Amino acid sequence: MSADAKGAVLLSVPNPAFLNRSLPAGQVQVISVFLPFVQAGPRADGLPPGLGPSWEPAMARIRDGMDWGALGGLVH
Amino acid sequence: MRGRSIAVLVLLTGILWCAGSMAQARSEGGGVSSMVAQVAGAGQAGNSVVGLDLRIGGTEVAAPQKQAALAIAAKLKAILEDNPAITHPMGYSLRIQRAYGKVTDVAHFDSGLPFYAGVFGTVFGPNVKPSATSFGNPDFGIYANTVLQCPMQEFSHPLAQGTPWRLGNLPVLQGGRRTGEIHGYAIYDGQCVIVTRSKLAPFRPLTVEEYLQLEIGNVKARLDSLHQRYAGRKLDAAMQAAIEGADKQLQNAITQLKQQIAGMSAASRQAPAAVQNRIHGGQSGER
Repeated sequence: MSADAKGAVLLSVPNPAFLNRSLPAGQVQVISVFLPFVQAGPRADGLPPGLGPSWEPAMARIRDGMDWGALGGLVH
Repeated sequence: MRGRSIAVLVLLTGILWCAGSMAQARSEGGGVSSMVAQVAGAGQAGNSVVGLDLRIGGTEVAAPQKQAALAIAAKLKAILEDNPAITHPMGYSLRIQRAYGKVTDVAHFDSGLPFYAGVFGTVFGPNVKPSATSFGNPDFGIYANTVLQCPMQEFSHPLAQGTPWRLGNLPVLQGGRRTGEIHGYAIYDGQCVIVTRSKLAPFRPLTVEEYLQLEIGNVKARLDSLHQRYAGRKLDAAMQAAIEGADKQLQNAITQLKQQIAGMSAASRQAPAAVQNRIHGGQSGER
């Protein structure tokens, strides 16, 4: 089925080139923030159930209070 | 990451602080009862607790690397502790814990880096005082040098009989779709923000050709299994006919899949593969 069809669950693999294995181990190359409801709207299809919608206000408060600039500042 | 098995090992005695009293932790409930409490107590001050440091993924991290990992985790924890939603939860309680690992808990993926590190959080109803000494499935998290702590789900095709698909050493995942942006950083699947300076994408779609090749691999495995199971055994005529029929069916399936690939344009072969979501959190093998 088309990846753009309604209800389509995209299949993916990690991009092996994304992380540079030649850099020092302590160098932060990426920070991944897993935060349910960080984006408003329905959850993507095919994901583990995770937190229910009643937790959205709590997650939104965490999102809004996050110092995103500080997170970005850790990444080289 | 609820519902996923997480292999965590309590390693260090943690120092905890509580927004409320330091009384013995009451029962922790992340399920329906605490959700009800969370809704009912939306304006109620909750408790914030720091839990023990955890190793994720079941693979040891060498001692010097562990210290470096925990130092990075401490920086991320400090950023979280500047967040009033973490230090002064309202309508919920939470526990945050430094964490590190080499192999991820989902998909058991080793990126090749010596370690990853971060902080994960678990939320509870506002009346709960989370224990610092127990562990459970995290509900949110911030991790350096991994992208697989964003909970996507491994894909298992029905032909694979429960074994998650792998493309070489890469796990095949459900999700990985870029859905938005926040503060200039990409959001995937509406729930995972990737903060990076890299121009490369952290995930790439499985192509249709790769999907079909993996299906061929599954059918070949069934064929091999069939041959191994009955090799050298004396069979009666009916059984022999049944096995030959199954063999023929599997051979035909392989031929058809190969013909399907051969008949596709280059663009079609390279198109992203997707499956139909029929049940929330589940999938079918239909493309």
